[in-house]
Amino acid sequence: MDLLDIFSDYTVVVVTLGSALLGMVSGLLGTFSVLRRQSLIGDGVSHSALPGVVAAFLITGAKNTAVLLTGALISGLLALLLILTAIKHSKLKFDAALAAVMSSFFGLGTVLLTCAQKLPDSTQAGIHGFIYGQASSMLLRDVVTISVCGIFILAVVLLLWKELKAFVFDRAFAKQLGIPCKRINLILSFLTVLSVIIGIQTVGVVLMSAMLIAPAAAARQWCDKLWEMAALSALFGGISGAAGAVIGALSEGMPTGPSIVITAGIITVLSLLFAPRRGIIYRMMLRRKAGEVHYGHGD
Amino acid sequence: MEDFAVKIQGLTVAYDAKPVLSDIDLEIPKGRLTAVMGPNGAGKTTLLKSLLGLIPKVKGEVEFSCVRGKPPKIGYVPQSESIDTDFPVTVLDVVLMGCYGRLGWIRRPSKEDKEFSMEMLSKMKMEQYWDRQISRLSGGQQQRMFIARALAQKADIYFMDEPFKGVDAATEKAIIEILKELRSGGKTVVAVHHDLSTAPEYFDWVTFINNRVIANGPIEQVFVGENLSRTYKAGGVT
Repeated sequence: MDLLDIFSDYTVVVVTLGSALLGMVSGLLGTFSVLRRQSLIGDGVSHSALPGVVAAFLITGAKNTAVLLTGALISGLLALLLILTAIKHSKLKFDAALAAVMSSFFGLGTVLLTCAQKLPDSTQAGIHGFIYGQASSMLLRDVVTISVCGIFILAVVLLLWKELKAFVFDRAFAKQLGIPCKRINLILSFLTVLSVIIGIQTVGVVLMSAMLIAPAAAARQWCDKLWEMAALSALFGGISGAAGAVIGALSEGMPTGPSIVITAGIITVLSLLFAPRRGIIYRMMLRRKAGEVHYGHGD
Repeated sequence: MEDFAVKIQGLTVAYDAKPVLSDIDLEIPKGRLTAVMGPNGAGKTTLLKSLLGLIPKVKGEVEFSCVRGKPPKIGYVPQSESIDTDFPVTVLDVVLMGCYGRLGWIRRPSKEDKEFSMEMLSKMKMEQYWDRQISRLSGGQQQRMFIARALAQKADIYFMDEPFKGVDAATEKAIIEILKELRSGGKTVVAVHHDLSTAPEYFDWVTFINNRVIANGPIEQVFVGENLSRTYKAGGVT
């Protein structure tokens, strides 16, 4: 297929639109994950969603996206709850609790997948796609689901903007202001889980966390304001989604999900290298220019 | 007895099973500059945080006296190292957060809020840095920004956790001027303070704590050798 043809292809347009929207939503929420230093939370939730997907399939026998994603949502939230409870009631640190819960859930998911494969007919064919994603199977219905979730997430973020900003920046001060930090934390976690869940069908549980983190890490390089970072991160996510989908359509056999993630990765590397002031190259030049002059802060 | 701003009775606060503060009885006077002093681990920050309701107390009562018939508004300067200076916010963004408390849900800071925040910044001689990302400030400038944020809270009582920690001489002077201005405006300031040599000059009331209250009163009466040695030698680390 060449570039002109693909945009007259209904399937390609649907997949491109859906992937772009997905990238925007996860880019927006990834901003908060990165700034809270909880970049791995998306990874934990997405891996933990696998047993939910397969269990939903085994129990209902349906391959309906809504049913499978509900399973994913339940097991993702369950894992998150387990992680938070473990941190609260034991001396376990966030990363240890996350790794333990996430690998156990993913292991369980793999075991369930094996059970599903033993089913006599080939109905389980699509289930495997959740591991690495299957963007090409995206339907208009899925795009609608992504859009509805995306609009919901955007609306909540906009309405709670100043509360989120104060909470993520300085929790003690936010609490003193009277902002209900526990509730804000729950809302933010729920939105993050939701954005991961709507993405796993396209990008897969293994790579989904890159959709949260890569655009946000890239965006941080270019700006000094939270709203700029959130907007730019959504833009980078959207570009990655669309570009990955087009690459997937242009080249036979190129998987779309990984193409999206690689595009996001390239944007991140370029941002880390070339961004003014924060970029690696700028800082190397600055250091060389400064020579022996002390590089401090302030005036 | 003077009018109190905060009255604390039997306050006990613990992390896990270990009490950091035991049976604190204290009256913090209205309209004065109070220094909370004691060795490391004495519970100074814990006292501030529990008064602010940021950490739960095991038992005890905390009573704030009303100002013009209403519960007092409270301003807060947390310990400056508790925040990530690489966060994408500008100086004005941070000061504006001081206005969030009176805005309520959904509402955004208005033009007046922005003008008021700029005014507070110029009070701290920080107006020329309003558009800077906060990591490009010196430690002293960051502290002035956090004090401007507390001022933007338009409070009756200000709690400050080590406002003079790690600041330059110019900042120290600017902070002292603001504290005096707050006092002349009838405001109450409670600050955790470490420097024994400057305490009698900067503050007019002192509370010595080390897990419990050692002494509390006007600084010229209480800031004496006996109380100092009881505070700093009563099982503290320093």
